[in-house]
Amino acid sequence: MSECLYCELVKKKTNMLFENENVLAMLSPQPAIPGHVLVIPKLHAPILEVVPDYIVGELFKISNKISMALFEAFGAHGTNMLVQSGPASGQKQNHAAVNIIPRAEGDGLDLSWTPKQASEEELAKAENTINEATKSVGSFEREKPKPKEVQTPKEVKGEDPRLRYLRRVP
Amino acid sequence: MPEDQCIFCHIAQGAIPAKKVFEDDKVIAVLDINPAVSGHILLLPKEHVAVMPQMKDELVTHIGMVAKQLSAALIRSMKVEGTSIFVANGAAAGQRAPHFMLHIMPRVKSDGVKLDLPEGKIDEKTTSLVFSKLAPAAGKQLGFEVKPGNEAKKEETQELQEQKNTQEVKDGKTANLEKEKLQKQEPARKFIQPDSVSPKKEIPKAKGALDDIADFLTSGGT
Repeated sequence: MSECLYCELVKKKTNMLFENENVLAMLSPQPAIPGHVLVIPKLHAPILEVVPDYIVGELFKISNKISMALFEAFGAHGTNMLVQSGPASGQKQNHAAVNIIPRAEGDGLDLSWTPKQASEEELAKAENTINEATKSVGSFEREKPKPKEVQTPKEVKGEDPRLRYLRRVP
Repeated sequence: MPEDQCIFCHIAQGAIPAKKVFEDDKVIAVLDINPAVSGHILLLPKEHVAVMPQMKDELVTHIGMVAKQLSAALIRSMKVEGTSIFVANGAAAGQRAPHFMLHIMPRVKSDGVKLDLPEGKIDEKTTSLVFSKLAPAAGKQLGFEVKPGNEAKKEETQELQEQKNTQEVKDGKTANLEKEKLQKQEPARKFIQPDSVSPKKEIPKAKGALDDIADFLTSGGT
């Protein structure tokens, strides 16, 4: 894990724009374009799909704010947000990240695909394949409540009855 | 905004049939009829939004969590080598539709989708220039999320300690009484603390630029 570049950067906080308990935003050390920002979970996770839901929610919320900041700071004409999961998708570091990239016409960056004409059959086949797996979508892991709040009432409960009994004896 | 002319609003309302893979009260996910690859999902907010910066925090958070789970579902069911989750805000970023959407695509090697990011290097001067411009703007957008909360907590506890200290010095007898008072007050303070300090004061400041993009998109830009 110490060999993970992003984990190192979480420690060093190089060109850090924002951090909280779970998330850190920084200028990309290998920017596709100047202004390329990475929003990453602090805990090491190889791909976004294994990051807890509530942290993913935070990652997107913060990424959107960074995107707004790029519009504001550089007068960007557009922004891209890109999550690459797996080398086939172009992922190069072994640590989940949301890339936010400021865009302008003719900036030389080509992020595109050729839309295909899908037949009804092809679409129905894909729908069937995916639908079984998407049944579980929509129930989210929330952040676990912190144990500190639970401890105080316990102490009170443990002491009070004993004290009462002691007072009753005489 | 011509919402009644937006085909994606019609899809969200069910007026145009689509291959739906997920739906809840806020979002709908359908298969793209012009996919980059088989299994290409479009995740749309039900309300008409042109670009992501116009969306409320709660909706962005929600759509992010749904996107992650849909992406995981694609990996599981399509047995692919990865996924891309892609957002384009504005025509310059490649946005083609007037309704905001997240693209979630199953990926395999050499599938023809160009969503690789070149790894560039920029010199330190440019980097520090970029940083000096972006950091204040990002701080303005994000600062209120964390900093005011923390600062307020610190100030509060410092105040409390200062009060205690001065009172102890003042008078030995009354100090004890006042200490008790303070201790009684403490639990009440604890209830106020959790994230109550972050107000919803921040409204996107980049409005001028964003409205231009929104107008351009809804008037049928490519």
